[in-house]
Amino acid sequence: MLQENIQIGITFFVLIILQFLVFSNIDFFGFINPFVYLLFLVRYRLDGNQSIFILNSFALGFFVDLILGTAGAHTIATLTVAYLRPLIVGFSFGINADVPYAMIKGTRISNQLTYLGLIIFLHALIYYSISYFSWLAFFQIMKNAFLTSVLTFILIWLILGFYKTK
Amino acid sequence: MQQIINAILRNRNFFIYLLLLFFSFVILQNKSPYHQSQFRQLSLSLSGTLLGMRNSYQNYFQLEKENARLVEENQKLKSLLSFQKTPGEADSLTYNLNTSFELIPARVIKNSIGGVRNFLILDKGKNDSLSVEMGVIGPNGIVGIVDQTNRKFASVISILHRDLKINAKLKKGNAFGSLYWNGDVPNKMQLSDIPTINTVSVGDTVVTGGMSAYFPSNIPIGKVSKFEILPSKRYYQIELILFNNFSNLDHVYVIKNKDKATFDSLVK
Repeated sequence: MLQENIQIGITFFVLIILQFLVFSNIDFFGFINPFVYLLFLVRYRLDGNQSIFILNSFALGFFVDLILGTAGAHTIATLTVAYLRPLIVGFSFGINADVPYAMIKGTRISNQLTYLGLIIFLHALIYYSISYFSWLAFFQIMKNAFLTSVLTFILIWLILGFYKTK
Repeated sequence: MQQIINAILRNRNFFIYLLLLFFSFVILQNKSPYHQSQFRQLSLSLSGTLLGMRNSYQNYFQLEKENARLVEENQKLKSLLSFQKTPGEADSLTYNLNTSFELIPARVIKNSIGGVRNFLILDKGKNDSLSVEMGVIGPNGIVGIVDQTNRKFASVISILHRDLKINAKLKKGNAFGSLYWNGDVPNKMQLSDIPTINTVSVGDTVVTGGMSAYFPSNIPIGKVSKFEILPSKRYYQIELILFNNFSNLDHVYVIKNKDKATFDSLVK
């Protein structure tokens, strides 16, 4: 348990630093940066205490906002996705929703893809909606959310592959 | 009580989420001027609609008082006409508005004087040709500047707002200075930057300076109640009592400056 908590703590800070130093400087197409820190939400165990998970996710978003100089959009997006994660898990895994981790061997790839895609796209959609905060920017929000999600999805899937082989 | 506590505990994740979400929005609103303005637009629509509904029936019960006030205002105007007084001579109701300014009447549906940054909400909006940065005057002097509008309502930064500075002058001698509110009592304001080469006395009238596109010159503001010379001996620090009573503002006029675009292009 202690080892797992230490691991969560290390992942938390490493992801924030990587997001700041590497992933927020990619500027794909000139403006698309993946939100790879979402790996924290994706890998966090599903059967843990949901309240602590929400608090951890809030802290993650808060630190990302702080370090990237954004006003609060990362915090709101991360917090909301963390709160909705049980619903996302239920939707993605159906009757197998009681697995301890989402991205482990034994769960179907299609379920994993749905779970990962939903978390990433929902987060990007909330993030850009908060950032633009205007109905007039609807198409801009959708375009950015889609492109960011695709890039984030690819990178997180590659990193998860690294975890699995290890 | 036990049931309420149980219900909260049962839905604790939802309440934690709501609390943190609220906290996040507070941060967002404080850190980003864009979001601040968007939130104010939203709040203007919500409070404008609700207060408009409340005022529609409240006004009905205040008709008698309102009639008396309008009769008084009419009498003042009539007396000015009959004596052929030059506009600007009396202290109130004599706005020296030239033809480039147009007045749009409006009613105050929300007014605050208790904070350090006070706002008013008017029952007129874009549909009535109101737009941002228009000056607002009351029956006895200036009230504020429009800062947000939607179709039906407008929010106005009151002159009782710590961050607002207005160009003003002493009517006697025309010395210009800067008018601001220090957040203390709602009937007193401060006038600074008046050089000591001018003479000031208690009871002097302070009027708008006309050096901005918001207000024409010579609109009354208040009377000097106290003044002192700053330690540098170069400027006065003047305190004035406002003519307008901000606690019972109801009918106001929004000033539309037809030459504002030309004025702004010159200033830029």
